[in-house]
Parts: sequence; structure tokens; C-alpha cells
Amino acid sequence: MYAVQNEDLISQAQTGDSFAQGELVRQWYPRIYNFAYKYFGKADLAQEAAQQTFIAMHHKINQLNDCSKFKSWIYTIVTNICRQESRKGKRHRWLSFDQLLPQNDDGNSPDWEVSIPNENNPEQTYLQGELGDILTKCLQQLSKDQREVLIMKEYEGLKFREIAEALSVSENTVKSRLYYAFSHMRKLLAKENITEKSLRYEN
Amino acid sequence: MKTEDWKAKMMDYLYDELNPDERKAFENELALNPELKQELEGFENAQHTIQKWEDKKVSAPPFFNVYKNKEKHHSQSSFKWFISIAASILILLLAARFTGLEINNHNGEFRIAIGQQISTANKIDEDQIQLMVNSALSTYEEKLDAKRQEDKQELENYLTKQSMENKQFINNYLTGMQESNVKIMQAYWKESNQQQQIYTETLLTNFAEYIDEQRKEDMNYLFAKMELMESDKDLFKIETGQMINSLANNQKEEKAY
Repeated sequence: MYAVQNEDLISQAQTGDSFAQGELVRQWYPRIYNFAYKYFGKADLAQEAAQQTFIAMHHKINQLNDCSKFKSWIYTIVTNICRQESRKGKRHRWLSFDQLLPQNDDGNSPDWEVSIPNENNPEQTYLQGELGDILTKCLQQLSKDQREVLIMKEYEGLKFREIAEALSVSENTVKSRLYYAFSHMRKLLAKENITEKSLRYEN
Repeated sequence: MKTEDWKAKMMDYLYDELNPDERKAFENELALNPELKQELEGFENAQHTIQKWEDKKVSAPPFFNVYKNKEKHHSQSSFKWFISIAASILILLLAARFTGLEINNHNGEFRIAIGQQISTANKIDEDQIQLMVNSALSTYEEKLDAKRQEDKQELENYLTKQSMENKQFINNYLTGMQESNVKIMQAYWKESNQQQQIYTETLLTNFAEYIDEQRKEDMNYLFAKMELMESDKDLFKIETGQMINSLANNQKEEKAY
């Protein structure tokens, strides 16, 4: 039922319905932002990559023939944008949403905020920050192919078929890349002295 | 064992994407192969660690609604402009109808009349216009010349006055500087002479003291030498006396034998 509703939303967005497009952005922004954040390990790059992804979605959504493949399609876009930015190796200023939004009377921040205040306790927030730093460091040491597959599978929960479609490779290639990603991550985590037991102790 | 097929199966098992038969076969292999089991456990541990990292909580910006609203607003604004222009033209046409507006464009002449017929009787010919233009131009040039002469004279006067003032200023400055230099040199020489005089006097005093001191030291030296010589002379006398006594004693002893 949900999938059908989602496909309806995509069909409406293809007709240029601004509400449907806004709803798609609202639903997918956190996922796409977090994918880019784990890919780069930097919040500003992730924000820009997410914005660029939805601008591309707005322009190209008419080219999507099968609405059921929207998920792999949008991950193809964000992966290509992340690869493109990563190849540049330097900061390239994209158009910010802030420039498109009406300013407040005081001329400061726009009406929306990127971050939602964390409801966890401070200790939990601190531990998450430390773990995030270590995992970011480890992920950055993986090859781009391995990193993409690991993030898509582990954090985005895509099926092997969806990852294969998003990256235009075979399912076996996806599994092989994931195997080597895990193999590499296991060594990197051991090097950082991070084990499941140590995390359980800290929590 | 580590074929690509088994690596793929391990990934499927890790994410529970094997069908029951494949799953059973893989578990049998795990029971027989401790190396495979160890590797799988390592992967599971890494997976659990990775899963502990939670997503960042972010909200989407309201981009598309704003973008669309702007377009809508823009199109409404355009329509309003179009209606306004059309209404203005209609009002002008009605006003023209009621005021008897007549517009004529004939032989390059554009005429507008309100409430009467356009007449071309009072026409000025080309020569008259040329004459008027020439007259206006010559008057304008005369005025320009006069103004130019006036400005030139004013500028010359200003430059002459400025030149005089500058000369006077430079002369005053040089005179003042000369006087100041003379005073400085005089003060310098006076001060210098005084210093030299004091220096010479001090030098002479010091030299006299030195000579006096030197003479005293020489005299002391002479006295000391003379005392030494006297002392030597006394000693010589004593020694001579002793030698004479000794010789006298020796002679007495020889005589006794």
C-alpha cells in the first residue's frame, strides 16, 4: 500500500506538481543527506550533494520511466554527484537553498534548519560523535566502490538488486565489493581497537 | 574455498537473503569449515559495530514549494500588468473620441489636434528654419567666445597672483632659513670654543700635576739610591776593618812560631 502511494506521489511529481515534488524531497532528504555524509565524512559537502541531487531530481524526474525504480534511480544520481565531487578534490560552491529562500526580517538564517536537536542524553551524543569520527576515518580508507556498496547496504538498507541497478553492475559484483569492504573494515576497526565488546562496555 | 561464489553466499547469509536450501547448505559448510566460521564471525562483529553509528537527524528544506510559489506570483504579476496596459489604452481611446482628437502624419509631418481641424497653412519653409538655426548658432558661439575669453583672463590673473604669492613665500622661507642657520652656527662656534678652552685648561692642569708627581718619584728614587750607597760604604768599611784585623792576627801568630 505504501509503495503504491509512493509511486502515485512520483507520478504526480512527474506532472510538475510542486506539492508532490516537495513531499518527495521531504521524505528522501534525510536518506540522501546521510548517504552523502557517510561518503564524504563532511557535513557541508553532504548538504551540498543532497541539494544538488534534488535539483537534478527536479529537472530529470520526467525521464524516469518506471516509478518503482525511483529508489535505485535517486541513489544513482547521488552516487554520481558524490563521485564527481570527489574527483574534483576541491570545494566547488553549488547553489544553496538559502539563496532561493526568502530571508527573515532580521536577515539571518532562513526559515528552516538543517539539524534537529538531538533528543538523546549528552553522553550518548558524545559517544556517537566519537564512534562517528572513527567510522568516518575507516570508511575514507576504503576504495570508493567498496564504500558506496557498504553504505548503500548497511546504512541505506538497499537490496543487492537495487544496489546493482543504482551502480549499473551485476549483483555478484556488488556482493564481491561488499565482501572486500567488510574484510577491510574488520582490519581497520581492529587497528582502532574498536570491537563490539568495547562498544557494549561504553554503552 | 574462497571462490567468488562463496563470498557472494557469505554476503547473502550475512543479510539473510538465502533461500532455505541454500541457507542449510551454507550452515553445513560452516560446521565443517572453522576458517569460514571465524571469518563470518569477524564480519558479523564488524557489522554490529558499523550499525551502532546512527544517522544524523536532518529535515528537508522547503525548496520546491517556494520555487513554485515564486513562479505563480510572477505569472499573476504579468497578467496584472497586461490588464493595466489594456485598460489605459481603452481610456485613452475613449478620451480621444470625446475630445475630438485628430492625429495626422503627412509628408513627414506628425500633427496632433484636439477639437479642431489640422491646418497646414502656417508653415515655415526650409530657408527660414535654416536662418533661425544659423542665427541661434552664431549667437551661441559669440556667447561661448565671450565666456571663454573671460575665463582665460580670470585664469591668467589667478596664475599670476599665485606665482607672486609662491615667490614671496619661497623668499620668506629662504630668508628665515638663512637667519636660522647663522644663529645655529654662531651658537655652535661659541659652545665649541668654550668646550675647547675648558679642555685645554684641564689638560694643562693634569700635565703640571703629572710633572710634579714624576719629579717627586725621581727624588725619592735618588734618595733611596744614595742611602743604599751609604749603607754599602759602611759595610765595606766594616769588612775592610775585619780583613785588617784578620791580617794583623795572622802576622802575630806567625811571629809567635
